[in-house]
Amino acid sequence: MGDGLINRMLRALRLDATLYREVAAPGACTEQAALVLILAAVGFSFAQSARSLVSWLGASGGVWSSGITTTEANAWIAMDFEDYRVVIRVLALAAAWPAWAAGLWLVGKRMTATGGRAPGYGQFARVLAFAQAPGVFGAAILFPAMIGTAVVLAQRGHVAPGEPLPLAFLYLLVDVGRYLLAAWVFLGTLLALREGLGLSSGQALGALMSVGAGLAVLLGVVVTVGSVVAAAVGVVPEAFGPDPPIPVGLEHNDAIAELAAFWIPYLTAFEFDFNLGLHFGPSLMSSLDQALATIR
Amino acid sequence: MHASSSRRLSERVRDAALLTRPLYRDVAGDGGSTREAVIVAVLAGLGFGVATFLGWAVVGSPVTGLLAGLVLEPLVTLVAWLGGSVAAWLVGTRLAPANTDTARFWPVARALAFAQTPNLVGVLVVLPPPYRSGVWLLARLWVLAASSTAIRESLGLSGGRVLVTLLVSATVYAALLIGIFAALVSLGVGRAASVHGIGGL
Repeated sequence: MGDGLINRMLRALRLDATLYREVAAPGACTEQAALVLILAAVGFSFAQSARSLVSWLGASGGVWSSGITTTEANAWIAMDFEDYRVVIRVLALAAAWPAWAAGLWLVGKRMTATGGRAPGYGQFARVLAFAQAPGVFGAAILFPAMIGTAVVLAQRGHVAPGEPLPLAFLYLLVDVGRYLLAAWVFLGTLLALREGLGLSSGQALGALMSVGAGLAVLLGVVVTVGSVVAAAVGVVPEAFGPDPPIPVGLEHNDAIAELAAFWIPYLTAFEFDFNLGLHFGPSLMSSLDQALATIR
Repeated sequence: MHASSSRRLSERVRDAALLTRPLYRDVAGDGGSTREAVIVAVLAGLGFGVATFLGWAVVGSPVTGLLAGLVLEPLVTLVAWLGGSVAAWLVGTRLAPANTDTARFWPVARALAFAQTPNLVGVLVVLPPPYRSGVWLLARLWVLAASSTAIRESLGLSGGRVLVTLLVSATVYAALLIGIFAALVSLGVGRAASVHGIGGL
């Protein structure tokens, strides 16, 4: 079952260079690539939920001047886990794939020694989808985070202001897990560029960094200008700016993030796994939160 | 059902879920597997159905769960599958290149029935959020990917033609699910019908 889905996913996880050449072949496995991308998007969404979860709880003791009860903490968590948020996250992650692939393909094609014989866009997009395969492990990060959180909340009825919660292990688990996944996808993407477009390692790295920077700036501009326009016409109450309202589900109470709020649209695209959906999703959700708050 | 035929069915279900192209070609061309295809479509409907049943049973209404999850859900899934198959067949045969043989309806329907198998993961919507919505969306998108393979193999289409046919078929499928749910709501049985597959989450 050399061309079976499971076999190909395992080879993608092992960073098997021959897989990337194989899936670039014309007429190969478009649906398999799409499914890998979907599975990875769901996994990354779970990993983000895990980050959001421990971030909320870690901040809980300090951000609410009166402290919070377990019930309140659970309510905040439930809000972040609302179905529409998860769905938007996954769709944003999946929707970022064609844009990311287009940017890398356009830049990589100009660098490749094969010139005009470089694979077409569809072929390269397939290769890039397999590079996202490690995302499937995102669900494995969320599960222990949820169990650990439930245990912590069950043990305490009330979290006093400034009270540290014993979440260091969860923080470590979630952050290390996310960055491991990010690094894994990063290596897969480098390999996809090398094998899919015939670039050298240096060229692949150059293409990755330049396209990442370019798209991050582009998305940052779109989100910032879009939110300013939306605020101006009254669709949302406030635009992104130096002092944005704290959006539910984002990493609030993060002093650095708040200070750098204006730059977040530009910076966060670099955080993770070189999948722009991780940037676009939270931005979109923040705008939705504001719009919903206005409606309510 | 004999052990060998049930083993064959389970292997086919596995291959269908893994988007194995030859499987879709086989079931499209195998006129004797129509009964199997209907069984698969019903089983796929039971994925979300079992979750619905469990949900109702936990809140103390197992009879409602039985009706909504184990009867209504598979029935509606069957109707949606047939509707989506008719749409795929009507559009796909018109988009097929002129030199290809015109596909008949049942090969397309059989292939699309097997494409429903990812709905079996719907049983996992019993998990707490955010797993619940992640699983729900995963099942839906997975079925789309499988349906694309089914359309490609049963109708002999490629590229944009697959995409257009898939879009029309999926729209009809979703419209039937939503339409039936809306009809049930208007009949006053909306709450019972508000199951994971029909009424969404």
